[in-house]
Amino acid sequence: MMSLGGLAAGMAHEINNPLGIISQAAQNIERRMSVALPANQKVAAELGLQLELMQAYYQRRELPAFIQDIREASSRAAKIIANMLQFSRKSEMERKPVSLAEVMNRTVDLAASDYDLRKQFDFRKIEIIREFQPDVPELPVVVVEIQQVLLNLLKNAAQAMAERPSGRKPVITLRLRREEKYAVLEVADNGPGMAEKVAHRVFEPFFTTKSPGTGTGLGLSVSYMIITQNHQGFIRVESTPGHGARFIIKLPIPDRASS
Amino acid sequence: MSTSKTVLIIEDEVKLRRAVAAYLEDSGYRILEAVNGREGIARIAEHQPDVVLTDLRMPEMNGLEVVTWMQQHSPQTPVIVISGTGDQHAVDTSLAAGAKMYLTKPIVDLAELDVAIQKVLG
Repeated sequence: MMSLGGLAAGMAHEINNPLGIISQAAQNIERRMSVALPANQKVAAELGLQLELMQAYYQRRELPAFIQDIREASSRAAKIIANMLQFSRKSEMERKPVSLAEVMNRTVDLAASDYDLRKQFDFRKIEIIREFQPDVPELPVVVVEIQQVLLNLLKNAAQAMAERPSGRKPVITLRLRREEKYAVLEVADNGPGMAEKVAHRVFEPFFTTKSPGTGTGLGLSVSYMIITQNHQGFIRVESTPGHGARFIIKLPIPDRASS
Repeated sequence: MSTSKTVLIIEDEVKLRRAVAAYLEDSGYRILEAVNGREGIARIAEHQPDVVLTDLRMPEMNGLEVVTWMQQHSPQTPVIVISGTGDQHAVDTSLAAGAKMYLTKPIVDLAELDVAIQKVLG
């Protein structure tokens, strides 16, 4: 049976061409409506057409705004496609044993300097508590992928806390501990939390509670694939509305790393 | 901008090819078009374009074969690969075969393509 990742990649690839036609055609229309382009001036002169008048008509009828809408929408769709392609990307990237505590620390630094994050809120205003147990061995993981998952969880937590402030000081707690043959990573916030029916669906592709245009609904589903398929681990969420959310990741500790 | 440089666009999806052609025509380039790699190399042999843009996945002769053929027959002509196969392997293979640049589909802003062409033309 074809995997979800394979299906997503196939679809993403097929959608790219029509998407390109839409955005490029819109861009051509925009350019060919312009008064400044010499080729437009030439044809207008041949037809005895006053380009400035035509331009005024376009403006009055808001055509440039509609074309801009097409361009923005196709650019948004292109971002979703790029995310979907990540589903299938084979993890040929190098795996070497790394300290998960270090990966978590580095991701916090990354989040603090992320431009997208800063646009919506100041990540540095969030208190970060680290509770790392020292008995977790180094694990062979694809660092960029684990960072992507953690960054995604940090972003979601920060966004949720910024959008629905609870009056408490926003806090994110990162935990790392060992549970038998697993390394357990947690990202917990004291934000608004989520209803049970939302918690059940957060890992589904395209499920989002963010306002249109803000989230693609793919961040957590990509995270899910990274953890379960690429790292043979588990990821789940625990949450009570009004009492924050806690994402728990379990990554298997290979035998040779456990000593 | 006025330039007499010739750009060959090899792409099997006609509307995509036309959209790119229309844009580059407006930028002042002379445009040649081909529907697959086989037709593409015939155009190259016949017209010696200054730049070649090629898709990767096409019937009859694919983009990678075009790049390889050009390395042997027209190594001085720069090739830009434009493909939706955005995985690292496709990028690496295309560049290793001799492509000057790799752009990922969809190109949502054609001005980027304009800049890429100017860059490979030096």
